[in-house]
This record gives sequence, C-alpha cells and structure tokens, in this order.
Amino acid sequence: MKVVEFKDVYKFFGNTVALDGVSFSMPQGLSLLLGPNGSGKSTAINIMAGLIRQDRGYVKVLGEDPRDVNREGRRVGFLIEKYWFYDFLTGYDHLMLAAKILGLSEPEIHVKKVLKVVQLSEYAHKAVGTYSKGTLQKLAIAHALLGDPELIVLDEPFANLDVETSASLMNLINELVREGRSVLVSTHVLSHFKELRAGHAVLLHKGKVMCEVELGNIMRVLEKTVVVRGEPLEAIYRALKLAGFRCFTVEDKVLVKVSHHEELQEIIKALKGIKVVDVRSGVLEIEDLLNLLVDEDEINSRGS
Amino acid sequence: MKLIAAEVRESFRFPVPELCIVAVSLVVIPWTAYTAGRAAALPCTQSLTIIEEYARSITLRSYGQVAPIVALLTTILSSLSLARDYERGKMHLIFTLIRSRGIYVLSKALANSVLPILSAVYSLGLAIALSTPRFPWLAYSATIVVLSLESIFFALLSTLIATLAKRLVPSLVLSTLTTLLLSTLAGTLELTGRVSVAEMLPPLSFRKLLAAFMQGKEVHIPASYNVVYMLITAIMLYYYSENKLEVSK
Repeated sequence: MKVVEFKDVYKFFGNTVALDGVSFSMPQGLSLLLGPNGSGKSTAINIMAGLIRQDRGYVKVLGEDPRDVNREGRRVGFLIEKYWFYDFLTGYDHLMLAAKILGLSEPEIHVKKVLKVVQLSEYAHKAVGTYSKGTLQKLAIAHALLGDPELIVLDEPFANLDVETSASLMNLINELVREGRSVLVSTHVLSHFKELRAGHAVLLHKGKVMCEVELGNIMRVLEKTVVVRGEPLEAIYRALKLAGFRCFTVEDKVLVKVSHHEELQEIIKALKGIKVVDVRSGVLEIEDLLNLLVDEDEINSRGS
Repeated sequence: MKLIAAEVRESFRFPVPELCIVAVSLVVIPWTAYTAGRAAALPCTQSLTIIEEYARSITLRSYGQVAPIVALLTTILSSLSLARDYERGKMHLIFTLIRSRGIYVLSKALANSVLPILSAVYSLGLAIALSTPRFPWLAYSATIVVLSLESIFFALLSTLIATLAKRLVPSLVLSTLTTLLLSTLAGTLELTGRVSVAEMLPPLSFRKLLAAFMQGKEVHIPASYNVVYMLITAIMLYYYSENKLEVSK
C-alpha cells in the first residue's frame, strides 16, 4: 500500500510555481522527501496536512483525501514547519489539550507516553514560555506522535536540535519504523541518515521531482564522493581529470567520484602543487547530491 | 470547550482588558458627568413613571455611547486574534489536530466577543448608575443582551475579514474600516431622513432591536434583520474556513 500519492500536482502562489507537476508515491516504512530550501518540500507537506489545497492534480494520504484522513480518529500525525504554543500553558497542558481535541480515550496515558518518548518529562510541567527552541521542537514532535498515528510526517524535524537530541530523534524514527509505522521525513540535511540503508527517497528541486531512489543508493553515492575545495578550482579540476578521475565543478568545490576510499590518497597525490583547503569524503550537501544523481542517471541511460 | 477557554484566557492577557476598560471609561465617564448632574436635579419624590421613563431614555442614550466602542473593540480583538494565529503558526498546529476548522473559527469569534461584552456590562452599568437615582435593571439587562448580540455579529464579521486577508495589518485595517463604514453609512442615512433604511443596517438595527425590547409591540421588531445578518456571516465564515481557507504558504 502507498501511504502517500501525488499525481501531477501543481501549486501556484501568485506567479511562483511551488509544485510543478509533481508525481511520486511513498511506500510503507521510512521515506525521505529531500531537496534544498525552496524546492517545494514544505508545500508538499502542507498539502498532505490539508493546510493548503493543490491547484491541479490529486493527492492521497493513506488512500484518502488529506482533509478527510483524520476525520475518524488520528491516522496521520504531523510536525509542520510552523507552529506556535500558548506560552502560559505547560507542555503537559498543551498535550492534554491536543489529546482532548483529538478525542483520545485516557488522554493522560497517551500524553505521558509521548512525553517519555521525546524525553520531555522533565520540562512537562513548566510553562512553554520558558522553553528553548529545541525543547519547543520536541513538544511539536510529541504533538505529532499523539494518538499513535499510522503515518507520521515530520517536516525538518532536526531543525533547532543539538547533536545529542538529533541522534535520539533518529533512534526514535528507527524505532517507529520497526514498530510497523510509516514515517515520512522532509529534510535538507543528509548526514542524519548516513547509517540507514532501507527506505525510499524522493528528491525535489525547484518544484519538480528530480528522481525517486532507494535510500541505499543515496548513501552509496554519498560514500563514493570526495569533495575538494581549494584554489584555483579550474586547476584542481584539470589535475583530477588528467589523473583519470570522473569529476565536476559545483560552485566553490570539485566533486570527485571514487569507487573505494583508498582512492583518496591518489586524489591527494594528483593535487600536489595546488593549494587545497579541504578534502573530505562522505559529506555532501543536498544540491551536490542532486548533481551526482543526475550525472549517474545520465551514465546509466548511456550504458543501457 | 477547553480550546475556547484557552482562547478566552489568551484574550484576557495584559494589557488587553486594561486597555478595553480605559477605552470604554474614556467614552462613558465624560458624557455621564453631564447627565449625572441632571439626574441629581430630579426630586426623589417624583412619580415612579417619570423616573422609569427617564431611566429608559438614559439607558438608550448610554447604549448610543457604548455600542460603537463595543463594536470597535470586538472588531479589533477578533481580527487581531485570527491574523496573529495565522502569522505565528498556531492555526497550522491546531488545524492538524481538529476535525472541523469551521467550528474552531466560529468558536474563536465567540471567544473574542467575551471581553467586549464584559466591557459593555461595566461601562453601561457605570453610565446608568452615574445618571439615575434608581438603577433600571430590566432595561439594563435588555441592553446587555442586545450589545452582546451586536458584539457577536461584529466578531463574526471581523473574523471573516481576517480569514480572507490573513495578514495582521490588512486584517486590522479592513475590518476596522468595514465597521466604521457601516456605522457611518447608517448614521448618514438616519441624518438624511431615511431612518427606516438606516435601521436596517447593523449598528442601528441593533439599536432598533433594543427600542423594540423596551417599548413593546408598537415598534416593529427588526430582530429578523439581525438574525439574518448573523446567520449569513456565520455560514460564510464556517464555509470559508472549512473548505477554502489556506493556512500556509
């Protein structure tokens, strides 16, 4: 069963095209919606949450219209990019209010459970006005988990979180998937998913779907790419080409495709005499990933 | 209900109630200072009928002073509250939880008319108490009922405007202008002799409703106008927020 389906979806904000004929589907389990800022991720999530309507095309969430999916109890929980709380209420009061709005039976049990899951029990009885940004983010995540929804949609969940909390959120996502729930994460930060091999990813760029890939493929690309920064960039590019590497220039860096990590030494050797500032592998920005995947696609199609 | 209670509590946060009290007092007290002198001049031995009539007229005149400020307060509070929810993202979070957005927005309009109604209770009571030797409880209660209806009508109208305009400043400006325009239009029509038409428009239609309450059957009761206006506004607000309101960009 597809948990989310977008078919030829268009969304305009005045003259701006936010989604330009987007079609993708997400299976059960973990799915990522990747893309740089302004690629249309949040617009897609807001359509899924029923906060806005698409201008054309159709969208199904768990087989239903986004605005109807939660009518008979909570099936989808959302962490949306924009949220705000009453600062005079405590985190516990907020979750109790949300649990009552959702019509959950035994709201206290649900609230205590999600507070424990997001590790917020310590702050639960303090006014929200005293919370840090990270704690607010945890409270928003707790809202998304209330009512044990089948699908949890998290828009930029790692924003405002420190390394430790990000790691525990990643564990939580893995735990939810293991429990049999579907989790859809929208993000522009790839590093949190380094360890993951299973899952589905959709890459959005300028309101269009660039590609749909398995998460494992992304991670393979990530591992087999070396990023070189230095001056002059043209000299770095030429030296690497001369040494037989497949590489290309993106803004202030050269991306080099390697087949194994040992090639890093050969890259450093090839760059002898050129001012190199940084050579790294396994660290990519989402825009670079887009370039690499498009390049790989071209190579595959040429090969076939 | 808990959400409405939280909304009411939100509208009662410093300095909003304080500002409301100051606003209504500034309108009512200078005016009553003049009429209080006249009331004190009345001998206490006068017949009950005369006092009743006097009290009644004071009530009507007090209503005339309080009604515009109540309409304006409701307009400002309702439009600010909804637009602020939109801009801060509270609406986004709530709409992912609730099943009916229409009911939420309607109840939000009602929650925002509570403070202006309480301000009316205070200011009207103050005006009448300062002006008459005997407090006309019946007339006072009727006036409060009508002012509450008026407050709810303007809350619904301003919330509807805010759902369309969404942003803080446009919502505030548009809803305030609409309230002022309705009042000015009704006032101008009344001054130019077209009283029956003027009294069909919201601010004056509520005054006519009050007069009908207090004077009995000889005055045509324009309750139907007010009921129709309130229903149309509530239905539009419900339909728009349930089906058309886009809460994010």
